[in-house]
Amino acid sequence: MKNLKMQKVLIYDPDKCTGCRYCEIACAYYHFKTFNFERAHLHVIFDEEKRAFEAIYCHHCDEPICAAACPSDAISKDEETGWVRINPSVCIGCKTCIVVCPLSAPWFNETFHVSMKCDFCNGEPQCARFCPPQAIRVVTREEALKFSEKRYLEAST
Amino acid sequence: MRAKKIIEYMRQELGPDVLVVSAPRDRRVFINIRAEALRKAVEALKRKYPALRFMTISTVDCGLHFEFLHHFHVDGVVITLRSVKPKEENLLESIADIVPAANFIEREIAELFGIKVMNHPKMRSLILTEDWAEDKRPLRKPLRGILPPQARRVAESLISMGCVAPISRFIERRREAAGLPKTPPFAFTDEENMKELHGIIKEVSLSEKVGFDWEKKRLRYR
Repeated sequence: MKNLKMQKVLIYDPDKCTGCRYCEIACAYYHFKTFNFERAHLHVIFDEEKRAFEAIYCHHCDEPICAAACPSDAISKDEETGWVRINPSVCIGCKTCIVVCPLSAPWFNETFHVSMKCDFCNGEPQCARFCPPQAIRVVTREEALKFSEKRYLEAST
Repeated sequence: MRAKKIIEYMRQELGPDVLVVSAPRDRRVFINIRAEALRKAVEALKRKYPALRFMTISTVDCGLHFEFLHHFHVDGVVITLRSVKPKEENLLESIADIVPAANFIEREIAELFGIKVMNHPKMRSLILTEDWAEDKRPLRKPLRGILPPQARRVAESLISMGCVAPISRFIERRREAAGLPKTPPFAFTDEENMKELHGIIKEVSLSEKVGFDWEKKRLRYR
């Protein structure tokens, strides 16, 4: 992608999140036509110790480590949009991407025997669309970096 | 480019301990190192790249040896340090004091393969029960090479003596009765010829492939 700063990515604000898991249902319904939480490409988890929500979702990295590690070159970063996607007909189901990803964002679909991950819903992420408090939003990379920088500075002080 | 830089740095730091280097793709590096230099290699990586992220250790039981693959994420590149240890040693050096994330996977390896992990900070069971039988490890295979049982004696005699088929007692007796020496004169009774044969065997690494012990002059498995 030419202009990395203008790439559209998702951000998650744990202060706004209510833990309703609508995002997961919307994702699973959009991709698999089921209401199964386990078939969603993102997950909202609750940390019992810190009493806080956290979402695990693909960040569509500038330099995806999953693409670097994939032995069959099934993962690629789209040059125009910057989305990192898995080609299911090339994927061999070795689960390397799941191990190497810092967040373990990809997950293994046992029905099709391939890894699957967020594909940005062709430009209109359903999680962001259906999130009632707008905790998940679509912003540019620049804004997302600013937001996370602010969040981590707050957390560290 | 970054992959090349990392390879150069590792070659410079480890010198002859780096055996083979390959970079099949842009941001993927495989470095085969000597097993003794494993800790040194990880320390060198940590020194140069403080943001080194440890991924995991894969262990492969190859029958005659264990293959340990330490995966790291450095600067957008996936590095794999590959080291091989013979199965009789049954040892793995812990790197958990350099990269603490290796703690759990080392415990898992120790448990599932029955490998002793040296200098591990806190070794106890992870998945299996504490009183799990020492000789029944779920992922451990028996010490066995590529040869089927009927070919083992043939290979052993070919490498150690230079003849393919050992002569049976029956034939020895028949030869004695006929007034001949016990064994026929082999082409390789000559020491010089034997040296040449052993040279060829070592060159094509036949002895390594079948698992031949040069000191004991027999296969490592029978």
